[in-house]
Amino acid sequence: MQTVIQQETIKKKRERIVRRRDSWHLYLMILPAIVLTLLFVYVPMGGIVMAFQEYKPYLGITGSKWVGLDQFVFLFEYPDSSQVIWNTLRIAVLKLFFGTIATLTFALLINEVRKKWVRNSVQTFVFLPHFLSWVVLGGIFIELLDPKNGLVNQLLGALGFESIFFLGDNNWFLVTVVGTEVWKEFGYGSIIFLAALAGINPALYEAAQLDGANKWKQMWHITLPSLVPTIVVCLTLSLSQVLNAGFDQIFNLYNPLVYAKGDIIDTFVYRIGLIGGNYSFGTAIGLFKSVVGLILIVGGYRLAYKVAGYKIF
Amino acid sequence: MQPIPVSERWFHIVNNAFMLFLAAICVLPLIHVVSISLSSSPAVASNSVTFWPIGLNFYSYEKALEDDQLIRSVWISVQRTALSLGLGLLVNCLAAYVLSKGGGRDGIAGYKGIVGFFIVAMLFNGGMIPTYLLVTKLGLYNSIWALVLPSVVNVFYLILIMNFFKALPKELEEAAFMDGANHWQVFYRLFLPLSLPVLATVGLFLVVMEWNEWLMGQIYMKADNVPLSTFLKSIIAVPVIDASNAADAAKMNNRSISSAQILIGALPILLMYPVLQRFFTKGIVIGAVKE
Repeated sequence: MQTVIQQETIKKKRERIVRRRDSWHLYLMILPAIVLTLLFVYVPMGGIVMAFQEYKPYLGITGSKWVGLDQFVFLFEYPDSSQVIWNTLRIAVLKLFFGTIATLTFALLINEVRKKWVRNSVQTFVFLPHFLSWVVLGGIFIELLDPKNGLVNQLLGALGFESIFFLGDNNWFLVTVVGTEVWKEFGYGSIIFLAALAGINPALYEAAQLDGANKWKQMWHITLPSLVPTIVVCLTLSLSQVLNAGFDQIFNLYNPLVYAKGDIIDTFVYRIGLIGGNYSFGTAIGLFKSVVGLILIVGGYRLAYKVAGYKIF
Repeated sequence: MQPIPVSERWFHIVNNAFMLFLAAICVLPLIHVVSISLSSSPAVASNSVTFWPIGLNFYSYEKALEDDQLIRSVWISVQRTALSLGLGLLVNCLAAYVLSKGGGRDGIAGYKGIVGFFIVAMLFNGGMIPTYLLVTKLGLYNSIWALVLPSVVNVFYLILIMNFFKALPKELEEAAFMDGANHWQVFYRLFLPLSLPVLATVGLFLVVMEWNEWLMGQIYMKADNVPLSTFLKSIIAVPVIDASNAADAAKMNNRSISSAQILIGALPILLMYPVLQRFFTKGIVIGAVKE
């Protein structure tokens, strides 16, 4: 009897030793991910010091002159850059507002569809735009919204309206950017709400029906309150996106005619910083955006955790 | 079973119609461009093409595929997507395997620190310009690796895979270790085969992401070496001046050709879409499973 127990403990000990000896493999396995992250994420973070320099490529980071906060002072005094920050905020907030309403409405309505084939085919079609790139969609919308030959303006003309230069007029550009973004994402975004809707206890609806509540009342008193946690989580997490107005989309749709309202931080950094060669200035704007974004992400996560108990790890 | 009230029946009719309308709104732009690409140039020039080709022909596709640059760009996109897919799955899965062990006796020392290291990398980065300078300093300018290496580690997918690994039954790996397997064998023979759903999901997302990405191609590659999406970007531009003066036939032909080019760019995604559609809902559900 005793020997059996002894054998057991010996076996366990040996197993532990084998695994401990083996554990250096684990470090080897995670090494590629660490090296790549170090190289392509952390080393560029070191490049942020350029934001406090007057960076010259031939002098490098070690040789360029330090200018302290001059780039940031310039950033806030230069009318173009403050305009760009406002543009970014405006576009991002409009997208967030209309995007949430459209996505939520669609989720609620598609959830009411009883016919399976309608439901499935509608979902198949509305998810599709999410997977197409803005290069492709940019091409499609440029064709579709052409002031003279585009299908949309042909239709407006047939109805007796004047043609609209959607991508050349500043106000219409805003409408187009928000509209096409909502168009692209409302279907795919509804998945998370549909998952929450599927989780509502059907007994609640049965009880409400017995009490004589109609569809409308059921939606108002059961469905919407059940979705509140999901909505809160989505909104707080998207707080971090208010300085991300969608580089891919804007870059594929904009042109000099609409810089006044359509130019955003990322396109500005690309044009002025990277293409224009103002590396330090571009980095400073980028840093401003990253820091604000980081504060909002951390704040958003804290808030989401407090309000809805959402935790990623 | 209660009879359905009339008002409710009307709601369902209107609602179904509205849903089908939305579905149409989402695909009609694509169908319009397909129609233009397949129509004859007089039909396109007179703006009579809507959602069905007029004077069906494949001339614009022939013309688009004659372009050597397009073929070269397709090949670069294929290479880039394949390399990113292979490396991305391998590197992220290996790291996810290690992190799925947690920080205890089975895991690695400094677990919390390494998790923090990846989380910070997800939330914060140096931005476009420092990354560009680094890639050029590394001598990767105009190399396919400039398109692949910077985006290999994807912390979001890493977490997704890790959560899946964590949910696998512990007994299986215990048994394998008892039988003398090492970590590589457990990873390759046990974890990977059991994780095919999550691998397929992440793989499909990676393919879509890499195929669609165009900015890196634009800033890291010379013009004759760009991937397809970047090439498309370079040929599609908003016509800044109003082309109201006598639109000549050649210009109109361009509309068909650029439509064909756009669709060639979207083709792999469209072909993958039926498969994608089955997986992505699952993928999001998998991602949402927290312990």
